[in-house]
Amino acid sequence: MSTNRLRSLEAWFQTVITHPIDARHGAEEAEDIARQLGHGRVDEIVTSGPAISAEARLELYHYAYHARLVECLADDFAAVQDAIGERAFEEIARQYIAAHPSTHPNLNAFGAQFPEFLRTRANGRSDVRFAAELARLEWAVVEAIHAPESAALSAEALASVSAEAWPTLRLLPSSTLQRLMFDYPVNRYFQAYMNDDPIEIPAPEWSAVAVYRQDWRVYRMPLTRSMDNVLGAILRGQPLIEALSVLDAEDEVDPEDVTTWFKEWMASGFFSGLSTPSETAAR
Amino acid sequence: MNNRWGLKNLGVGLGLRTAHYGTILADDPPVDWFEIISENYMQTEGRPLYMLDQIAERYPIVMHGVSMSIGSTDPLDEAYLRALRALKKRVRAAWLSDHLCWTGVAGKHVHDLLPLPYTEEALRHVTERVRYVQDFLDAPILLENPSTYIEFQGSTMPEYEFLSRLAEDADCGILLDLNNIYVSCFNHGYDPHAYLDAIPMDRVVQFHVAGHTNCGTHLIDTHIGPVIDPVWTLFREAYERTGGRSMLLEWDAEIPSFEETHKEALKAHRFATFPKRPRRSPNTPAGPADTADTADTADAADAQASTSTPPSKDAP
Repeated sequence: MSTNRLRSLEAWFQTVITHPIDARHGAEEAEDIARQLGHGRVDEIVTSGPAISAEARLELYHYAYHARLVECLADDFAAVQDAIGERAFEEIARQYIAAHPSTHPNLNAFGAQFPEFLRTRANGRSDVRFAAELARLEWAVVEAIHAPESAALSAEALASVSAEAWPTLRLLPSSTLQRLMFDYPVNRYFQAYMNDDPIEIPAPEWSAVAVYRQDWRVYRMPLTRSMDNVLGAILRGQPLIEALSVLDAEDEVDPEDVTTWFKEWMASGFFSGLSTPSETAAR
Repeated sequence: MNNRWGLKNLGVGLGLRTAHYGTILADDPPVDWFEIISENYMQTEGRPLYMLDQIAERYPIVMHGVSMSIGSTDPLDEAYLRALRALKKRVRAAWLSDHLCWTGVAGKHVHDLLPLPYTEEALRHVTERVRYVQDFLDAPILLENPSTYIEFQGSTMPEYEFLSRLAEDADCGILLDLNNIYVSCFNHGYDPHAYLDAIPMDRVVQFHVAGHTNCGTHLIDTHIGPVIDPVWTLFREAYERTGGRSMLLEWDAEIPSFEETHKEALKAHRFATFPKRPRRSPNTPAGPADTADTADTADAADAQASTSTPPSKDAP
């Protein structure tokens, strides 16, 4: 069954309402499709209403398309919007919508490329560079919300590892855990934003944070450089003993501190299992 | 009059919204049923599903989708349909619905309910796709009349005729949105009561009511604020003509407290008499047996036997 005419009509309509500027420009862009349909003017394709023109009716759809997607991004990147201001956020959001139109029936992942998009638009602007880092943190929170649940590795399971197996023991990360490093104190800023404290875009400063979910709530844990080094090595799949050895080379850390980190990480459900060359994952 | 599938009148339902999760789970309010936006619980394995699972244990659930894109000329998205089928089974949805519209073409998703030209070509196309989806899901689907802001010059029939013929030709159900009828008829200069007259009421399984925004020259279906009286009047007429169907209030913008939203929905009792529903204990699972009139027709029993069940996202 031929649907050629319907397909052309849908292509025309979509081109009109998704144009980055307005429906009039969209109609100009879609002139070739209109000609295929045997028409020249907008009002030869869609009707005017009792009180508004065909062009104005199309603009309603054009406005709704962009407003909906801007709102979707603002939901996921509320701190970014607050940091750079609503007008600048809308401008860059509309650029993003044009560059990365949704190709999925669900909007959950629509903002996935927004942090990287922001980074490429910084052009030397420190506020946008910071916003791109902040966006990475906000997106990590979104991903933690939607990540599959994984049960936490128990202290008993860890204690049951034989002495012979310890040299090759690897910890398997929870499906919700992410480690992020930044060139700005992003988590500190984000916390102030969440607290509704007065904030300004900060000067560059190294920072790192772990984002994870526990009992269905998403948390952020700031990491020192030493903590980040160890956790990073674990997440790269290095055996635990090798991961701890990064401290010998770079840090002067009290072993008691390391014990405290691990207790906190275990209690926070950072790990979902363990493996050794001779064992599969166990809890 | 019953509907073709014997799907039960569940009473007065509410659209399930993230802002109300806490109240629903803490207070177990006496709501007859909840309607979910299907896509909010797809492409996620985290908190949204966790919350939904708990609510589905306590209340009948109906699924309402926004992205099936039944009128698109792109191929149907089988991954989407598989996810829809899995969710239906997971929450034991009484039925599922989407809209008479398309939401994108050439691989893109516009995330809006875009109008179709009401032509014979479009009717054949959509009929074929509805049949395919119903076979895929092994269940009837309901299609909702959309709110529209344009009509195509090439349309050869009014929307109500297109929807009625589609329902008959594809053997699908209708989710009749009274607010959308009101909005579209205002925007195009039609009589909403004439629209109602043309709908085959035995195919109507569910009603929607909602608030809208009056922009003077046109109305926008914003799902904001209380339902206006003319829409309630349409609801009363439609309810009487069907002999009673499940009814749901949609409120998606500037969402008030759960109590206020529920209070608005309960206004439906001023316009219609609903069957008394036994109050379910929180520990009694809701399920198909509780949401189907299995005694009505053989078709109904068959349909139910195969039925195992403003952009929102879970807030960080």
